[in-house]
Amino acid sequence: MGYNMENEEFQNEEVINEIGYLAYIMDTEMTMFERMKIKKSSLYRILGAMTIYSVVMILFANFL
Amino acid sequence: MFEVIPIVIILAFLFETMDSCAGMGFGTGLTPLLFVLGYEPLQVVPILLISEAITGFTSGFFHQEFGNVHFKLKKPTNRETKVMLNIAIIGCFSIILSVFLTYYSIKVDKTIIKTYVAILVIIMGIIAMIKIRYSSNNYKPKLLTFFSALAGFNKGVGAGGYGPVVMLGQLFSGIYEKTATAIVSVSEGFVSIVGFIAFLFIPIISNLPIEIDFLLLPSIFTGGFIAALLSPYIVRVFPNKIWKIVIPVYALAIGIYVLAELFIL
Repeated sequence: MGYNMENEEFQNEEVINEIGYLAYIMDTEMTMFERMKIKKSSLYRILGAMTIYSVVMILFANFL
Repeated sequence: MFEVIPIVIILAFLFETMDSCAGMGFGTGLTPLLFVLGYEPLQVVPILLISEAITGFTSGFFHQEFGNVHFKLKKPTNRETKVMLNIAIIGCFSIILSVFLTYYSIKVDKTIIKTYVAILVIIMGIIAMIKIRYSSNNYKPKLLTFFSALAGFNKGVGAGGYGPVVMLGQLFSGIYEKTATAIVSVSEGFVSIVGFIAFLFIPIISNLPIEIDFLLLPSIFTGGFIAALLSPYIVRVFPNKIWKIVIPVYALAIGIYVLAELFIL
């Protein structure tokens, strides 16, 4: 399928053009338990988003 | 004035969770409830637009991160990106028209139009439920353009229901449910930000007073933002067959809710 399970990345550019193919492959080739695991980089991005949220709330508290 | 209102946080969280999971319901569901809680339209509508813009982009980013969608911004873009832009552009024109009609108080009979949208969503929800077993993933771009235009027309005349019509339109057009959810989240982000800008600029151009009350912003932003982080993960974990059921059932519930709000509440 051209899909690298470890890195969750496509190796084949042509496949990416199909709508919903990435989600479809994750559904068919990974179990629900496997889908529950997320990459470390995703966790860092969630932490980054929470930091942005905190900064925005501080700005609201000061300027609203 | 900075105030955090727990009930508004909870409502925003619940409706944004469903909006990011099922692609609809944040505006349609939350707006009447906030009116019932005693807030005025100018306290609610622009704040929902700015919150929806932030949460739409946030949830779109995490949908991409969790593999529910694959947007490709560099050329050549892929079909998912083109579909998203197609829906967003039609929606942007519609919301400008909608804000223009609101400011100039052009009389459109909201009851008739909202009834039509509610019935449309109910019928589409029922068809989607019937089609659960027979749905195919053959992409039909013309059908999608038709539903985007229909949703845009509804929003343009101020009847709302943009999310349900676009979302179910995507399903009828053969787009995979998880991906359709992500596409509609990002499209709504673009549409909402244009709507908010229109809310600011149309009165400036027309020398009308701008009356935006930011009281609800911290609460709606808090509930919506946390939901926008959580929902893409929920979409990723649960199998697509769950979303095939949840999306039409939720659309049906929203259609009935709008009818109840019009004729019972």
